[in-house]
Amino acid sequence: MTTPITSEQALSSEEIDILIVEHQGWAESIARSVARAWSMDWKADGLDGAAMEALIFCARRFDPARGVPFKGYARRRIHEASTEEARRSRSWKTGINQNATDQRAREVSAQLFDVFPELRDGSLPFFDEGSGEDDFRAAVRGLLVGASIIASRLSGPESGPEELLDFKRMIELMAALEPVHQIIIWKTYWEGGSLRSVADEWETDELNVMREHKALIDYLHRAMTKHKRPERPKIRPGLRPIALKLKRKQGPELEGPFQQMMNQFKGR
Amino acid sequence: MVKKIGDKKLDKVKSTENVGQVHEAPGIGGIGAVGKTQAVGSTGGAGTIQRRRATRTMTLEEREQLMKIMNEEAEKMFGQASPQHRKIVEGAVKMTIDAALGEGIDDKGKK
Repeated sequence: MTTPITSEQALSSEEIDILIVEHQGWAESIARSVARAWSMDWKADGLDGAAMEALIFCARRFDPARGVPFKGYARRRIHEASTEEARRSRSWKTGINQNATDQRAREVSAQLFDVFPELRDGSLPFFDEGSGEDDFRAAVRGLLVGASIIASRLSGPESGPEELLDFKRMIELMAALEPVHQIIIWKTYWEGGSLRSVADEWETDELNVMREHKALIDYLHRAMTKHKRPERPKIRPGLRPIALKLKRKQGPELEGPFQQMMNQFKGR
Repeated sequence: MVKKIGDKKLDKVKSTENVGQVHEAPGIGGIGAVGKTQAVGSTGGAGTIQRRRATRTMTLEEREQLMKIMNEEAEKMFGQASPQHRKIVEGAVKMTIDAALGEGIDDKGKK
């Protein structure tokens, strides 16, 4: 007879072993695809071990009674373990077999997973109910805008003349937003937080922040595509109390972080 | 004079002493009463989680379509940007899609 080892385990040791053996190939394939996308060696860079550790961790904590399939439960954690191990590896830090552009692209890609964690599940962000080309397009635009913001942040104001121009252009677009909107982008893309952590800090529903973020990405896309700058997005009802609170706290002259950055540029 | 290691030879092992006695373990003090539990908060409806993030799982077949759309969109978006910036952003999105696709693309690689 098999019994669970601890009260946390819903499965017996034998069931856990079976789960691990059954999903080993699948977990390895996730690590392999991460390594291939980032031009790394999944074994030499330790992604295989990280994926396996995450698989074992998930198998030990998996509870079938919750009604979530194992792959659905474990995929994000295995993916995250693989990407984190990749970022810790020597070849990531030294940039072996990578030119500067590819190395920067890889860093941007890694940070995109932090902003859009649903990608770790193999899902596209900003996808509505349908499955038409418009939804694909919205998802790709979201990724391009997100990557553009991250790339600008990584290049920074101390870069070469071309990069500096790209950086300034991006900051200018974001500085035109409402302060509360600037703060969402700042906290997510500059400080490395998540939309959920922003919602927690503001004690509001995550959905409010997510909808606002989607509207901001749409605006930035339009601003980057068209020569004439579109009208800046209004604060949606869900976030108005937060915006008011910020104004009350910091006064009517409240400036967003990108506006402050622009002022620094002008002062130089 | 330098003393070489190993100059001094070991004598025979001296007799060992017997262990006296094992001390008795102290008794466990009284266990405090279990605190009162609080009511569990209400859960959201079945559809709440799905509505949180509008997402869709990618398939390998859709990869090519995504790449095509990405090139079209990048063309429109990066008219003013430097070629370097465009290359980094396009490269990052392509890497991200490939790294997110996971097992689908890996299966193809094996075939």
